[in-house]
Amino acid sequence: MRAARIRCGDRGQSGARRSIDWRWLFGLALLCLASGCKDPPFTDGLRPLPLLTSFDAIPREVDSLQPTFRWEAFPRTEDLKVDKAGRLAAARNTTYELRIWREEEDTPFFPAELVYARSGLTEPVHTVETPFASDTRYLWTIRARFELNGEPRVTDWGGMFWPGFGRRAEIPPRGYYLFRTPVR
Amino acid sequence: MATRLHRVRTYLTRMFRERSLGERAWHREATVNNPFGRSARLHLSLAFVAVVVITLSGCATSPDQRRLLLPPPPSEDLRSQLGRVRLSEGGMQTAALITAPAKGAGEGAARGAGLGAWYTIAGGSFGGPSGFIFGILLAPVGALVGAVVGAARAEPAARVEEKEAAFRVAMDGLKVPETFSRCVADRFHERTSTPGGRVSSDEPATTILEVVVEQFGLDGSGLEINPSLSFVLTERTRLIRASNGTELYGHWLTYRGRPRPLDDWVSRNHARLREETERACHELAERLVDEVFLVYLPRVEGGEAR
Repeated sequence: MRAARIRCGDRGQSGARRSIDWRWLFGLALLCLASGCKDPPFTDGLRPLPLLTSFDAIPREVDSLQPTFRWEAFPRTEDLKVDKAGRLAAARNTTYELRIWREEEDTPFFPAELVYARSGLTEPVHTVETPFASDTRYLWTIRARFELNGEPRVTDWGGMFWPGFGRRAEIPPRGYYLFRTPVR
Repeated sequence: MATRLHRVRTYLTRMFRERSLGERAWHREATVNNPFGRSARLHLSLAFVAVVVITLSGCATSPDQRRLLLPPPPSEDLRSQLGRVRLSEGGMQTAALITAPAKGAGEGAARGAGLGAWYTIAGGSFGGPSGFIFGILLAPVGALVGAVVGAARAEPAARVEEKEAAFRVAMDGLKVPETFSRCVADRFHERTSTPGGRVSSDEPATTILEVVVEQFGLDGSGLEINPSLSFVLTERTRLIRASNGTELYGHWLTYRGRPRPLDDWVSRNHARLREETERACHELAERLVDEVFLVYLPRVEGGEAR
């Protein structure tokens, strides 16, 4: 299975394609400056592979209408390191949940409509089974589901969130991973 | 440190006093000797814009930070002590909310004046500290222009009130608190894995899961003439020990949908409102139950709460 090739900030061949939203980019750049531009920034939960960079407000362009998504496997080394109670060592039956939304027109990063959802994925990789619309921006996220002492547990949904701002008490989050499908 | 502070003070004093007298030569010198670094003006401008952005996003204006940030989920130790959990609606404390557009030319002019002044100052700040001061000086002109535009663009008060009344009737008809309670109950039974750990309303329980809809309605910037309004639904959840009423855990969670003009909300017999209520109930209930019973954050369990 081959991962979809991803290009950051590539405008592609179509002049009609929606351009980068500079207002959001400017805001994220400010926040990046404020936070010291740590790398990788703005992430919570599991992260996509390849790992994000500071300016992934620009949608990653996938090269297929049925892209393949890859993400970090759970538990990560960093999870085991901070899990001082050592409970994650007892985690069993890890699976993953994947959700993909169409992005709301004119409201960047707002998940408008859930178009694809899978749960029970046993590997941190998935190729979508139904084609998406071409030249469209989508948001995706993943989380791990596992069992601790027989009880179900989940991680936070993955997304780009500002460090130091805590977990926002507002849904839907405006930080899921962004991608754009190619023109067909 | 003292030397640096002295240099900063001298720099600011000279910048505001001497530049206003038109000493361009000093500006060249100050740029070289600038104690903040070579791009001081850029940094100051960026800092100002960042403060504006953060303020506008609501971070600095909310009276209660706890409503903005989720606390860590209940620890595994706490979850293991919950025992038999009963869902309780916690009484009706719901407030309907609506941020209305400007009602008539008078209110439109007032809001327009505020916006005109604000945009003039904010626009000036992109030119650095001197631009910021220039913006303040020009703010009355901006306010005047804004007042004229605001008066012209505002809808008649009667028409706005009519839409507002129709919207309130539609909200009452949807019975949002009751609908949300059903969503939470469904999710509570679906997502929690131990049927023995849940009890119905007439059975004794170890822990009460109290869920209250605090407010719902349409929210937007009350400073704009015809603001875009988002459907909001805020719930308050608490885990309470049944034996002595001690609060074991609590959070606020808000659904905030996509902003739309008021006309969109009242058109098509309030279809948008029904769709958004359904989505808010579903997503909020799911997140609530996930947060209380399912989410595991390794760094919180390890004592590194965010």
